[in-house]
Amino acid sequence: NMSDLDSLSLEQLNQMKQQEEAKLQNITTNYQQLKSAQARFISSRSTLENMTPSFENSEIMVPLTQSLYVPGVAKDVKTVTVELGTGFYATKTVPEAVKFLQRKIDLVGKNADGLMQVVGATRKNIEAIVMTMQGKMDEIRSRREAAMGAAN
Amino acid sequence: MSALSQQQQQGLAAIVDKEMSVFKQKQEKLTKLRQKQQTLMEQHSENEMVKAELLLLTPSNVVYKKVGPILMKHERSEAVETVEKRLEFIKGDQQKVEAQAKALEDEMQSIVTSVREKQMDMQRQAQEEAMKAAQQAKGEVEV
Repeated sequence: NMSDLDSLSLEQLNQMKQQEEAKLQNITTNYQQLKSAQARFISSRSTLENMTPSFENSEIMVPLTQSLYVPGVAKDVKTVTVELGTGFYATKTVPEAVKFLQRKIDLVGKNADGLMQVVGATRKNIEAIVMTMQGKMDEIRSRREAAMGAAN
Repeated sequence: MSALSQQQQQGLAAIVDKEMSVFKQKQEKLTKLRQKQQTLMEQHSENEMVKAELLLLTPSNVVYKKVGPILMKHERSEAVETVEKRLEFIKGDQQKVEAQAKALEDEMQSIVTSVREKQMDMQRQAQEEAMKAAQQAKGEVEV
């Protein structure tokens, strides 16, 4: 694919460059979404890791709405309910939940790393296209100068 | 004879235009199908993940399904069955969309071939016309 670059016209190369740049934009956005999802899981995990048995009967604030809380007491600090996905939930012990979150963190991290690689490859593509375009523009310019020189 | 060729030329050009607009329509349909494929792939991944997590549960874990604002208790086996059915459904959809996309691509390819042929025909005719006109001009001058 890259060796065919030279056979393309400047307009075609420019179009290709814009397509790759749009692709880069999308991938970068996806990467940021994955990273922020990973951060949320990490924060949940550390919250859970702080839920030790000594937390039982501590005073907590329970949200009734986004801006309304009521005081409460932490009754059961051994079990939590997690979202598995597609509307399914399951109760888990705190250690089980921590392991579950770790699986999520690792999975999302792996996907993010994969995206990073595509970012690198796409950037290289854009570089190659720009270089080819530069070469062609230089060629056109030197031909024009030669023609003007001959006319004189 | 040149009047006929001109008509033929215009006829061919009109047909090419029509084929190009059909091509564009198919192109748009294909883009939509690709987006559908992307969505189906994401749904497949998510459901596979949920199934794997469900299978990791022990009997002491209680499973719930969100129905509106409430969580309804479910049997793990029931939940696994539901997810597996959903996965089958998604796979069926994926196969259907793949077949539709392939068909569209083939149709678009045959339009490209047909348009290219016609463009070569038009070019050939235009060249013949130019040669004939040049010969005629030469003939007139010599006489």
